[in-house]
Amino acid sequence: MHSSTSSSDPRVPPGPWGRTHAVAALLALAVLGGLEAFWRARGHVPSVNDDRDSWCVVRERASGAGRDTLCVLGASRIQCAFVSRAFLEKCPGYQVLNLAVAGAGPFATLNDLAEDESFRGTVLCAVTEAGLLPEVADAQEPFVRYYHSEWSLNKRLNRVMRTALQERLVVLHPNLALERVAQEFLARRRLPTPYFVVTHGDRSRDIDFSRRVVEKVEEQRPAEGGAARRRGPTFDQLTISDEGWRARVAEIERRVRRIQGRGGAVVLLRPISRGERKALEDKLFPRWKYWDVLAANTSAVTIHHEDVPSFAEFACPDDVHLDFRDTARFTGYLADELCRRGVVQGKGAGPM
Amino acid sequence: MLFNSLTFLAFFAVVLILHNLPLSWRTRKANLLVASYIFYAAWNPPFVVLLWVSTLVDWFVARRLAVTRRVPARRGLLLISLAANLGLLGFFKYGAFLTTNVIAFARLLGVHFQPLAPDIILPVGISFYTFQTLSYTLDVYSGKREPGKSFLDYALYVTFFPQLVAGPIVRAGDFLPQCEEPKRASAEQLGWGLSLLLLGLFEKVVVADGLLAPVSEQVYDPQACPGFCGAWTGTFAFAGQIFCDFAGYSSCAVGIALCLGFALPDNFRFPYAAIGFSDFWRRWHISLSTWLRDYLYIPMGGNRGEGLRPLRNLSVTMFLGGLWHGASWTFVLWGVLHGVYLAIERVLLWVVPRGAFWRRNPVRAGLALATFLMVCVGWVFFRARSLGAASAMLASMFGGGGAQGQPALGMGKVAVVLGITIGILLLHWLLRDSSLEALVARCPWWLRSLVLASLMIAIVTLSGEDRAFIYFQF
Repeated sequence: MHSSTSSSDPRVPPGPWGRTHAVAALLALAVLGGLEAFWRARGHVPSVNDDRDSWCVVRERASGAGRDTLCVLGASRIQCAFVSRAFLEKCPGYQVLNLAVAGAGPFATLNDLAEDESFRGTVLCAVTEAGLLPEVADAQEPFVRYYHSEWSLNKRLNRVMRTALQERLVVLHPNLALERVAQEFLARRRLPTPYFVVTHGDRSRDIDFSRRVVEKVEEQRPAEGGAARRRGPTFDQLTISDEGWRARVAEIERRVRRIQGRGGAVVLLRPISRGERKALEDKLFPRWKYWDVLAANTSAVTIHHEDVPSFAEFACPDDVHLDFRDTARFTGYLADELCRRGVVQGKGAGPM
Repeated sequence: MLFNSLTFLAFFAVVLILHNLPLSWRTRKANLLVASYIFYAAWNPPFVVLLWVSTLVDWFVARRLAVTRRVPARRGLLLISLAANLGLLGFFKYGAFLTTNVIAFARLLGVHFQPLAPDIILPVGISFYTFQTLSYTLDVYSGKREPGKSFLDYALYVTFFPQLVAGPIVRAGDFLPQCEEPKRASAEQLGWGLSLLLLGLFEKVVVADGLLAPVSEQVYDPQACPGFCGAWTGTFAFAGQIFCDFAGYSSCAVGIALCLGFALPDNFRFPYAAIGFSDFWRRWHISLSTWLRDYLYIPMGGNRGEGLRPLRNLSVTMFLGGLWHGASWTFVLWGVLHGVYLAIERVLLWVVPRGAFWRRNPVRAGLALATFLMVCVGWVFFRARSLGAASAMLASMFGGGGAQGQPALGMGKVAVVLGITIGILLLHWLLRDSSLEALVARCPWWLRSLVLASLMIAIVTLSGEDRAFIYFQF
């Protein structure tokens, strides 16, 4: 630990510093290279540490975007389900921007895009009824605020470089930080197993449910300081009156109209739910009382997962998320549906 | 631009290459000046204007002071500098604080008004470069030094990027003479400078951010209600975090400057081995404490004067020292608490007879430990977000609160914090009368390589969330 921070002392420690640093660099490279090979051999893969800066890199590209840009908004369900590559196979020529944030309702981002006069793109907003309630809908607000108050060219360059490295190097995975490895080893006498979620440079995520160890999900979750963490009522405590819901729908519609007014488009997608979660959602937010009211009172295109027959084939191992083996197919079906509804143009037609 | 960012590494590599090209000394200084503006603008470009204002005002005031003999005119010139520098600092740093307190005071008097909330962004490093330029003008005013001859040198003195945003606060007398002769780092300076940069990054990225910040954040979370053990662990974690964060920044600053051939002054000297609070302030943030001593405490009378005057001088200095750290009553209380510590120490030195007993090593170690624990009590005010949160934390630390005993930190985290705290205390104690340079000079080159390689590996494999240096906010 260095405590005497002085260079005014002429006694700079003498010695062969060139050799010292060269050997140190070689040694560090050798150890890091060995670690990289070791973790890869144990099945670990690189993953990007998703934070506010990585969100801002994508958000910045949305400004000035036209109809050939598809902005994906929502929470983890769409962040882990939408595969840009699969979408582009069906609809080439588009630019896909993933602005979804795990654990956070998308209303603040929808509002931000609506307020951005230069944005004329297409918004695919995956949202549940609960995700639109005031208690949780603004969970992406810190990201928006950060973008408008603190984001800079310097941060963008830094984040782009970090992403490029994190996409390629396993040793930079937050779960493989020495401190976490030591904690895991001391607690369980074993090395960390590969994490079941992988985040890519474009902020999309893959969930490999075959690797999920249920009791370890929380412990394995990477330390992503920028990710939204919601505090407040639990899901089954969320509630809203009929009038409140109608007012909420009206607020959303105002944002939709603003985007449409500039030539953009908005699609509201109700993502897939299964099992106990679906039963609970149906009980707390029956479709006829919530989603259908939203669909009837918005000029946005609305897609409920129950209305797309091809979506029925997908299982959600945890009731709400798709396994990464299904996501490309899901995205393809979704692209087909968007083409059918005339929101985007499929192969051969080119973007609108 | 943060030292712990990839953009800084790229920036510094370019600066280092430019600085070592066969160009004239004037051109290389101009390169450094432009690089310093880019470094500052990377955070928020418009605020570079503030740097220019501060630079120009003090440059011209100092030049006028050198040719003005009439006392009232000299005072007027000094007032211009004080008004410009402290005005900017006051507006940006204390504007919102002042407004809030005026509203609260008016409410106490039964007057209710609600002005528009000022949405003021604090320019990074403004407290540091304001004090730096002020010291230049004050030195010229008091006749301690002549004004600089070269505007380029002076602008570089104000803006030099290694220490621009978080110190050390450099005196013109230390820096300007270094600009007169062409400078390139020797091989040994470059080697040692890079080593200091690595060491600083290790302190910041690994120890402060990677290991200690998560614990202090968890314990000092507004919704946490830590018990006795949790409160002390969180406070020890913050004590280590703020030291490694700030000393890490200073190490980087000194190392980077050395790579360019410049020497910066001491900022830390193993402060957690201090015996008493006078000793602590001779070892902690030395460039600020000496600034306050030279430009505030001594001009007010210092130790001279009858009765309670020295204690008043001390109290005012520490009050303003606390306020310098932040526009919040918690920082003010932190400063006042240190003022009280210093006053009590001074009284004890008058009252308690000196003898061989106090020079025994176990006694000295005990006094150093007591000093550290009292410093930690002070850190509670520094870290807590409000006076209420600080008093709740103190209640937990002294057994009167946190009945729920939350948050459960886990034995692993407690062990890590205690291990690091004990490590820092031991290291500081062992090196308190020595220096890092002396220690490194005794090490064979291969051991240095081994240590440097370990630092690199730790920095790469323990880089979590990017956190700004704590002192950037001051």
